[in-house]
Amino acid sequence: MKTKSIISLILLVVLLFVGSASLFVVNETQQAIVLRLGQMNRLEMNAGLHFKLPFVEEVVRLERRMLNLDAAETEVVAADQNRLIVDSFARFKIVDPLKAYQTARSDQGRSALLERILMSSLQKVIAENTMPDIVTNKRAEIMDRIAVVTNENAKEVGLEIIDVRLKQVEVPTNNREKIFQQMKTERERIAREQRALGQSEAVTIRANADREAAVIRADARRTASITRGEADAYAVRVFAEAFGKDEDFFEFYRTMQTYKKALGKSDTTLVLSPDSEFFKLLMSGGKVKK
Amino acid sequence: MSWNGNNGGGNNPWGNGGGRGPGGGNQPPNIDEVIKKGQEQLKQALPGGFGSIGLILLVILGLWLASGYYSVKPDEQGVVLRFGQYIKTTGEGPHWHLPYPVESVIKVNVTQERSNQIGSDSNNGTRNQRYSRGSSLDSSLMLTGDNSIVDVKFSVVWNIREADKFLFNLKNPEQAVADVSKSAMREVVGQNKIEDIITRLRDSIERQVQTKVQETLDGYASGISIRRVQISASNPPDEVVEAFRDVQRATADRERAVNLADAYKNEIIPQANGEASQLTQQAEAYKAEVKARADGEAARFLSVYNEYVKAKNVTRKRIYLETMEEILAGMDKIIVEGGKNGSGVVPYLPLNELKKKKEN
Repeated sequence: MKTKSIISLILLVVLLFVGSASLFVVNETQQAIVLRLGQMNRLEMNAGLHFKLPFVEEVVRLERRMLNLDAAETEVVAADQNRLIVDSFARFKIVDPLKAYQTARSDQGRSALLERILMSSLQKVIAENTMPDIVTNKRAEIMDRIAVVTNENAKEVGLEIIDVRLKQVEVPTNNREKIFQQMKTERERIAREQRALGQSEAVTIRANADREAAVIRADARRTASITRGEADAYAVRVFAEAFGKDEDFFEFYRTMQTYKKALGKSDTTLVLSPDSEFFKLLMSGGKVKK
Repeated sequence: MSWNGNNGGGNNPWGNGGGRGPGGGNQPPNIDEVIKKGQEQLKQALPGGFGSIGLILLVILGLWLASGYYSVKPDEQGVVLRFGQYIKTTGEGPHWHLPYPVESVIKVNVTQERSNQIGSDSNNGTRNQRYSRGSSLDSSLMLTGDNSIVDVKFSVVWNIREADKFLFNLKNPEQAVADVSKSAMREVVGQNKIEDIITRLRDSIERQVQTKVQETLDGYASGISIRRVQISASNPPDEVVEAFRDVQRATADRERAVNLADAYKNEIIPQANGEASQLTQQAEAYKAEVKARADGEAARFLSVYNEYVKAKNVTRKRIYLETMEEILAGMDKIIVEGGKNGSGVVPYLPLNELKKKKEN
């Protein structure tokens, strides 16, 4: 009874060991190559629990997720001879695990390989385009084009490029100075223009104001003259009507008033002859009748 | 950065996958009682010598099954794997999975907002260095569409939308967000003019970059949602900032010149209006005065005339005499008898003396 149970226990342990050696797990992020005695036997692309022959088969796991290649900065010459520093990255996947495994055993090896491929296609595509196109007009198009060119070569090593992006496209430091200079002069031009515009606007406003003021005054003067004229005309008419009734009396009456105003002061000396009309009573002794 | 705050695991979620699931400490407190009751019931149901070994095996089985219990917090998603294969994503609440080593669960925080600072000084030392290999370029200087250079610092805020996609489709997703954002920002900046970038287009650029980054990441099936892109600073580079400031000053100068001119205008127009109104009012006053005087004098004359008509000669004489009286009363008078027409007098008139007298 006791020996029997010990034997069964040993059997159980052996069974477990063999069982665990014949099972393997592929994670959701992995794909696996099964090698039988070092030779490629089959691919296990799906995640989950898989069987293998214990001790004869071995499993190589490769990444199934999308991988990143952060390429080094590189100086390139555009079609218009402008020098540019380009910093790029690529996203790629291992689509043919066997090819990928054969060309490079490690992730680093694969990255290095892909980087060389990317650099050459980058140089090629950039050299076909001008700087304004690369920076502004056709950037997305150029990135797609680089991806396509890179992909052609990447296929041969079992990789697929998802996309290539230009992270930074910049001018080298010494060319940068030129751009700064040009930016400065451009700003100076704008500043001057602004100040000149300010002056001209101000002068225009002042001139308009002066004109407006002059017009206002002139209008007022005209109105005032008309008013005064009306008044004078009225006076003339009224006087004419009143005085016209008896011109002779008016002359007399008005003359008398004028005398009063003009002569009635003490600083006037009057030299009179006694035989003037005024004195005809004075010398005649009171006899009025001639 | 860990994928969820609770586990604090490394980058590889499978590194300690087996260790997950609640240990003894997480078990409900009344489990001992349940087991005891079960033991008693078992003892009754299985009489005889089977007893203790079977009981221990049962307890072990029970504990093993209980280790499959897990709970997902409101801000998390639980991703269930069976032998490394993705089975399902579970939402908030308590769940159970087949215990180790069959199934495991990875909990991912999906509401937490994560942010990448790009071009910001505070993070240059750590984050950016990790992502770009010893960059000699200033990461925040960018070429614009009008061949200028602008300094843009911004941040991208994102969270995980689908935990399974996030875990399985992209290696190092955080770096993907940073790289794609940089690329997208430069693309958008490259399509605009520097003046617009630093002034009125900020919002629009933020939105465009957000859309572009989201599209690209969706293309990667990354399971990431870009919440927003925030430009923290967009300035001309230090080398030319003075020139830009001078433009601002020039604009201010222009406004000031115009304002001064407006002030002048506002001063002299009312002044002119005042003078104008003075002129017209004076004229009106003159008119009223002249009219009144004319009316008055005319009326006076007519009054006198009406009386005069009644007795012409007498009145005429009276007026004459009264006038003479008034005039002569106030005057120096010299009466000289002479020949006809006063010709005898004239030679003796001491005009000079008379004048002197006046001057005195």
